[in-house]
Amino acid sequence: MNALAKKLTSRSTVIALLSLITAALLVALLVPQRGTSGGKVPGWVAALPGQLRSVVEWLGIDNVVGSSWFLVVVALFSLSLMVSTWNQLAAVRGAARRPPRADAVPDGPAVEAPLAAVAEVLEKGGYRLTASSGPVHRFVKYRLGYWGNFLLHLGLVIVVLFSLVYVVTQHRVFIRLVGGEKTAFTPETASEVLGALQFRQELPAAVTLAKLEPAFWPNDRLATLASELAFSRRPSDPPERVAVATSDKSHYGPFLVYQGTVFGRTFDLEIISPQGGLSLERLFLPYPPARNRAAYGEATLKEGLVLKAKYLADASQKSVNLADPLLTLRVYRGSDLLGETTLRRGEMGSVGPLMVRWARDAWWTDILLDGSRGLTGIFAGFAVILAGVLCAYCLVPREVLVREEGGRVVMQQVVRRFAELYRDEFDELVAALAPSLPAGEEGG
Amino acid sequence: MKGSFALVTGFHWGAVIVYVVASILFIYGQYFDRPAMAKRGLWALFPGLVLHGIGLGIWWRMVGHGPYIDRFEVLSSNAWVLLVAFLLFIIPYPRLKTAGVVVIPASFILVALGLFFNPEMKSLPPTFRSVWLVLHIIFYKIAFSAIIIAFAFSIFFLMIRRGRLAGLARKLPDLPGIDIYAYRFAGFGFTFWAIGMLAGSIWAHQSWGIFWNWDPVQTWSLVTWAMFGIYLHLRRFFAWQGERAAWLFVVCFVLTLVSLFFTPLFESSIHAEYFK
Repeated sequence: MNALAKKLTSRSTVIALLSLITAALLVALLVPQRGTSGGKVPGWVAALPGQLRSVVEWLGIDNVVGSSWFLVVVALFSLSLMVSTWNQLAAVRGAARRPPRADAVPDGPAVEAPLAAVAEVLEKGGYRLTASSGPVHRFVKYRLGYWGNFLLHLGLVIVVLFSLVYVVTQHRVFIRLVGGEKTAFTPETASEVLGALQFRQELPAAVTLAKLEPAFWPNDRLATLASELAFSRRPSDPPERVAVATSDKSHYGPFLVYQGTVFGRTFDLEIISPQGGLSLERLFLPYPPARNRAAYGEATLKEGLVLKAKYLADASQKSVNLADPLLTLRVYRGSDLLGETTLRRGEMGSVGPLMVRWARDAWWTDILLDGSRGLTGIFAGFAVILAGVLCAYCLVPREVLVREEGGRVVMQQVVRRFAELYRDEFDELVAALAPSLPAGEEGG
Repeated sequence: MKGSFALVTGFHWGAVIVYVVASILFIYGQYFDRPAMAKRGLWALFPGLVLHGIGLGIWWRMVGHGPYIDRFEVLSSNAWVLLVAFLLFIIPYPRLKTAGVVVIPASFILVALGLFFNPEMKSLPPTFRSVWLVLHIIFYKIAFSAIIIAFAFSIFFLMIRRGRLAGLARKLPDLPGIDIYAYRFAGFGFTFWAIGMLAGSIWAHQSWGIFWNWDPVQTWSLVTWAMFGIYLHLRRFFAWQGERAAWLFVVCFVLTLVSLFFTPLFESSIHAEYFK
């Protein structure tokens, strides 16, 4: 067991695992992945001949971060981190408490001063007495720094463990809402992403988009997007209002509710075909990107017809805010344009063989509900990492060992990392104690 | 004060001129062993920083947000943070001053480069509103500053070892000392890069409901951080030092540039608005 722990934390194992993870991430960056093609097999893989494709898929080259070998490497790295953290704890406790050896400080600068005077100068310089062994005393500046590496490792372990909790308990629900309509959470209306444990929080029965308020910059770019939602826990329950906006999430039950950044208008069209049949068609169009630029969309109708639509938020093109929307419709069969019309709210027009009435329009937007667990732990781990790196790099512990010899003291500086950078600090301390002698030249 | 492009670019060009003068004084003083001249070069940075800071402040007021998006504002603020960080770092580490021969010219090159990109007033996307975004950016800028200083010392090491920069070598610590400075500042860079990355993931969680989504910019940033981790691990546990450590740091520096200035140009990134 000890041999395994030693192997796992050996410098070669750590560097090998770190290099493997880095190389894997580089492959994930340089080779098109499934994640960037909506989870589908990327084109370059599909184009490979059969056997080569099987090898690529088996190796997970097109899905590096989701491949089993990458998970094994990360798991080994995590295990190594955990063992190393335990070792670090033992080491740091030893470093912080251990008494100095009674025969320490065989040489070093000597000053003719009593220990009390030396201690006073050292204390002024930030050094505190931490341990003594007979005539030898250890003064330490930034004792907290001993904990740096341990905290850094502990923080990484916490992040890894809670990321695992997040991955296995993941429950994210995406739902598209239309203004004023009550939308039930069903497999048809909401898409769910579940973690390995298929952990599922209890979803509310329905949600209504009560209000959507986009605000724009003077250059027509979106500034903020805010929604007011009404959740019903059970079908018979009264709705509970929840306000969300971009970068301003809210809580609802066990879920965090996020405002999506996509939105637009739905257009409900009543279509009368030449055969006299009436059908209803709903178009989801994104919001126009600017006052003088339209948003586009299309729908496939019966009998091989395609309805293409575009609209401006304001027919006069004076504002990007929804003022006087103007909808233009075209009907195609194949590449043949059969007709075109322009409508305002409530108007009817003929488009090729069809009569179309703009019956209703409303806002639509996407909302995300996240019921995953473990995020608080991940962020707590971040805080511990932060404390660790600050201790390790900004509070490097400096020790001064002082040995009493008759009426004088011999001093030695011990710094485990970047010792060269703190030599001047020690020289200044010695100079303060023995101003008549140049620092570093006092004999021991 | 109501701002205008002319005012902002005027202040920036003024700062560039002051930085150029400071560079000449400082480099001349360092090469030809004129400490008073080098000192004047350092002091000259202060009026430059004031002009530069006023220019950035007016720009901030005009665009209504911090220097996060447009190339001009990103490069200009990076230069300002670099110089301030350099001046602060030389208080506890006086021997760091010599890195000014790289840092000061790098600053005016960054500002001038930003001006050549034509400053554009870009509005802030709705997801770019969070205190975590501000922390994310500040820590990356500080990390970039520390990395430039470490890069300067790595280059000093490589050149002095080849018998070059004889004038500068007198002002610098001995070769092992230069090597340690590179190591130390790489550590600072690694630290602040980590904090910037963590702050970024909290921002992502607030804005998109996910703290990590393998976005190209995030992944490049993680790769760069891991490379710094490898560098530090090799130095600490494999006793890497000197020449090969310096070369490895040069590789890390190139990765840093790719991460900060090239990957944000990828369309598929959630950082797509940044640096376009």
